[in-house]
Amino acid sequence: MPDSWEEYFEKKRAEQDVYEPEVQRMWHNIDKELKRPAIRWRSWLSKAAIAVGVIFAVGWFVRHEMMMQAQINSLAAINKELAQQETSYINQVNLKWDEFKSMPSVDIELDRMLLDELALLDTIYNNGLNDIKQHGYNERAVLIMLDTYEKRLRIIERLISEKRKTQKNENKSQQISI
Amino acid sequence: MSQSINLTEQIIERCKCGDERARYALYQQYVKPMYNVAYRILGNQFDAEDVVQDAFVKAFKKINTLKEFKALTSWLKQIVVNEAISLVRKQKKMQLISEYVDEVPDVEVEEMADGLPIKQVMKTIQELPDGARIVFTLRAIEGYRFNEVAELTGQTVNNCKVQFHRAKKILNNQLKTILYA
Repeated sequence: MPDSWEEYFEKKRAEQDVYEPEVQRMWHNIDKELKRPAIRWRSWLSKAAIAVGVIFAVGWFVRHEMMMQAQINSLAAINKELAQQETSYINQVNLKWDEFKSMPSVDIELDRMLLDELALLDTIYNNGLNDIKQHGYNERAVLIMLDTYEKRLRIIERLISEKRKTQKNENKSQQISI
Repeated sequence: MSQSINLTEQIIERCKCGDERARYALYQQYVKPMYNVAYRILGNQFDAEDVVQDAFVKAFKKINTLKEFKALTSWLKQIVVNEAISLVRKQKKMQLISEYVDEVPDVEVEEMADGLPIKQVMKTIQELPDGARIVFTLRAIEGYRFNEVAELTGQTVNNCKVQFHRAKKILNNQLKTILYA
């Protein structure tokens, strides 16, 4: 036997290709494969998957935003910070309103005017809310809505002050008549 | 010789431009040695044909990356070997069979036998177990080093050496029987 098979094959290199390929048939297959249009399935699939993913995500986001907007019925529904601010304002307004209500009813012209203004502030607040529902969050509408609370507080304080004045005047006139 | 090199260079340049006739010329020149490389590794005609076809398709598609035309033969052979080993791995033909080495009796080396008919030797090699045949072919015929064989086949260098030793033992055993029959 050969001492070294490596040497044996080196010497027989010219003879070692003993198998005959089917040249024409193999070429036919190679040629067919080379002429086939290169469809980069993997690349196309990954691009399609990314596109579907993006469309799905955008669609979901838009739908979610639209649903969220449609459900907004106060500033508190927009974010936590606004919720805190609005709750604080509502508490202050309620306290003042309770105070105003607890005072004896006095029918004066100014009271009616101020109550009309409160109703107008409700309309402004609702307009701001509708604007956010239709066009999404916007800073200007939020500021206007928060401002309605400030104005409400001032109007109620004014109402309370007017009632106190009227009461004082009534008390004085009673003392004088006595 | 220089004319032949010049011609090959021209063929390669035309292949790079997508010339079909040049491709065919290159194919005709190299198909037999490449088919034999694949056959020796895979041990059957069908797998060898598939691998050679895939290798030529790959080579023609990537021929622009071939910088040095003199390296064409080794470049092409490397593609064929890689494709063949890839198929072997897919078919899970490489097995760790070192434990069977001792079952084959040692045969005394009595003489150099350059006169051994190559066809008979090749036929005997094809009868070797897959792992042993692949390692033996890559090492003894294709001229790869053991570390290269290990890298190609995904086995350890020691395992490759064991497979090679086993192949040699079986070959010597089989050929001695034929030679002295």
